[in-house]
Amino acid sequence: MTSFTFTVNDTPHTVDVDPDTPLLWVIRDELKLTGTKYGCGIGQCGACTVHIDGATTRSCSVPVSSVAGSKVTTIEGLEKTAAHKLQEAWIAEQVPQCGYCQSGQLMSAALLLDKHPQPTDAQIDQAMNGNLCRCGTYGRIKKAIHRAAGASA
Amino acid sequence: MDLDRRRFITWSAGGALLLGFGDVALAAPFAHAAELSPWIRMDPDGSVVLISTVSDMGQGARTGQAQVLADELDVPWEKVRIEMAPDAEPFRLEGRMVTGGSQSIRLHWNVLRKAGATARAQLIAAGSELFGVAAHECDTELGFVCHTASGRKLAYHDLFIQAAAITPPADPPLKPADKRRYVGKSLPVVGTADRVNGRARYGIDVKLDGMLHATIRQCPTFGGTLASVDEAPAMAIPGVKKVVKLPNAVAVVADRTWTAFKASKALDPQWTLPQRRSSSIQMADQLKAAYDTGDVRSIPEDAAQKKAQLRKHFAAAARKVEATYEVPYLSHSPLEPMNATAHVTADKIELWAPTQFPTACRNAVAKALGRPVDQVDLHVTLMGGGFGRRLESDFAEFAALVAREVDAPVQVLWTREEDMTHDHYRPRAMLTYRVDLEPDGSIGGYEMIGAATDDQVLGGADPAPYRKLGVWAATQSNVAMGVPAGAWRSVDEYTTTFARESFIDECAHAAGQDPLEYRRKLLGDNARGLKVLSAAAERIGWGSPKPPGVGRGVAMLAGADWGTVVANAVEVVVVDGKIKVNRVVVAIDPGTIVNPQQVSAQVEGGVILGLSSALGEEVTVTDGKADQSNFNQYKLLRMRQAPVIEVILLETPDAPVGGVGEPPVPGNAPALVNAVFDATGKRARSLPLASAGFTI
Repeated sequence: MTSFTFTVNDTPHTVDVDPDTPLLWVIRDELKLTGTKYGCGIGQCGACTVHIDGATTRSCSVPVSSVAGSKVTTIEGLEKTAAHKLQEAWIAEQVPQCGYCQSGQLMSAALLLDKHPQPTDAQIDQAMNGNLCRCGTYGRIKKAIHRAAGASA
Repeated sequence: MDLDRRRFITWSAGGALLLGFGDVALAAPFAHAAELSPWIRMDPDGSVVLISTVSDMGQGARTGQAQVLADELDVPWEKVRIEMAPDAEPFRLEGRMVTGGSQSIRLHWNVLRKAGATARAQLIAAGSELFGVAAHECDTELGFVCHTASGRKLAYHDLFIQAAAITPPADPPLKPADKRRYVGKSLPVVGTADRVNGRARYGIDVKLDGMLHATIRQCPTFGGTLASVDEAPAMAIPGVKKVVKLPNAVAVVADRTWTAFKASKALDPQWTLPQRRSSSIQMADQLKAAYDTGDVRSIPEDAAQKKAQLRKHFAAAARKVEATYEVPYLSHSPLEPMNATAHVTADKIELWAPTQFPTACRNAVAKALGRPVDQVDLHVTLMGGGFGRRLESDFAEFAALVAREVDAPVQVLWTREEDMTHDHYRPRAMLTYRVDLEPDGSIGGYEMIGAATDDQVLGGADPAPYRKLGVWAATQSNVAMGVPAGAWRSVDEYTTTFARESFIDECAHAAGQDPLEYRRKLLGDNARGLKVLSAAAERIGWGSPKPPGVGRGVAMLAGADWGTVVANAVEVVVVDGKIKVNRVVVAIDPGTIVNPQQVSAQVEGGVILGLSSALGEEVTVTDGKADQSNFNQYKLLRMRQAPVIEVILLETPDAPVGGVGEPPVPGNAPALVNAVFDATGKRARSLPLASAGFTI
């Protein structure tokens, strides 16, 4: 067990865990922030997507030891950022079905809009291709991203 | 009782119910929740709690059920809250509480309407008594009973106690369609906000005081059992509490999920393998050899007689078409892996399970622990997808068996690898169709012979919706492979629709006719079938000029049990064998549509699931083990491959209400392969297309 300190949603946290513990399980089991989901454990589905120092990251594949000192944002912290308009667009377009993947979808979409405030369909495809949705909400996700982009214009 | 027409009802900032006479506010006459019907509760905070039988996996049917109930009850939608029904009467249907078979709306439609209308009639009776007028002089308006002539009003919340004492009428009047307020409206799904802010709690998110975390490792070979396991490598890891040995699995209980995962990997369990260990590579031959032998079922009742007649006719026919189609095993792969949380004490088994089938889940857990079923207290959690996988109860049984071994609540979470290699797969199947063609190209007689692994696939094997198809018969053999089989969203109809609609296309081409016109002739006087087919074909641009490489295909759903009529149309572009799906149009007529945007959502999702499976999904089995264990090997459709989807919603108000969860799924695969044929002249008769000579 080793101590690691990092910031999650603007709050500093110190956890005492095995250094190889993926950030995902620290967020879920230690910090009890359950909005970030486990889907595959190998970075293939995107359900665990968070932002680490402003970059989209699959938290299932990042050991906690590598994020010491970093700034992490999870879905629970998204409301306080400019990306809350994405959440509003998600509701307006009635995107979620089961909703399990949507935290990860929103985290990916948030950084897409940071980079491309008015993304094209191709840019959306590229940014969102790593996030699986088994319910098949891709079309509505695309609409919601365009809606949020429109709202920011 | 002195009633003032100015009497009104308000809610204070703190939520207390206040009744006002003029300027004088009075405390509410009741402080406890009142129950007028098992389906309806009114809480002191002013909310109207409607009970739903639906396990929520994102299909929106909880909201749909509430729309039906709220409409008849006539309450303001913003006051409605939805709660999950317990696994008990009167919420069960035929003794079972289950979410599957696209049943939530269609089989509860009458029950919910009657429950709402009955309560409303009781409220009117109670209100009219207080008004001192006849009940027929009163009406309701969004949570109030109104005396039409005098304009006097009484809030439902004030009448609940009195209404509950009134004998429910046997035959309350139901709202006519043109008076509906909620049915037919695209209301947002209740609970959407929590699904975009991380607050929705799924099975995996259950957190209890003192809860331990466990994971399970089942024998990788289907049907194998645990011979022995050295616990030491797991127990050496700090945080590991216990290694639990089960007949066919080993579980590790720890203080944290990651510790359990790591310790489980550290084990080297020894397994006793079953005699029968099947391999996909042999299955085509095994299925073909099983035709008409072994465990055979047939439809219709006189199939044997009809088959003899059909085969004689077929042998002598001048023009005939015969083709064989295959579908692979499919994994459900809901994004939330299997899990459940259990706390087993001397007199109670408390269970938190994302289950589609509460009744079976409770029974299975009780049986696994040898305890009476009434000791199983089940909390149905939200589900991160179901698709039929959560009709099974294996994940709940494992949770209970592990929890029995420790003095704490335990969450048993499967890794994705466990989930994918221990699914209850959509069965592999092979279906052969034979017809003889009349001189005009129409079908004289139609026979299906099929075989499926560990299952019978006869749903949709009848040639419905085609009414001009002559004599028909279908036979299915169940071939034991020892691979767990289960229901996968749209079940048998996926398989039979893929095969039949591919085959009808082949018949049209053999007859030298346009596949759309050919289907129209076969539909005969099936007006609803013609309506959806024409709508889908027109929207996809059937018959309009196509750039090189572009192809279009259509397919009709049979699915008579669901009561919904569907046509799917697909446009593809194929370049050097690489398939890109441009557009999909689905025309769907479920009779009555309760929530248009949610029906659209089900269609959109059904299209993605149908295309995903048809393009790239396949589980293969080698020596009794699944070969694919995660999403790097089992390829789900991604954003970049997702086509534009257009949904055409149609209604037939006098038809029974149909289901919408499954019906949009089956037509996608055949419409896709028909479009690929149209584009390339190459007919794929097995799925997925990624394994049939195409790239995706």
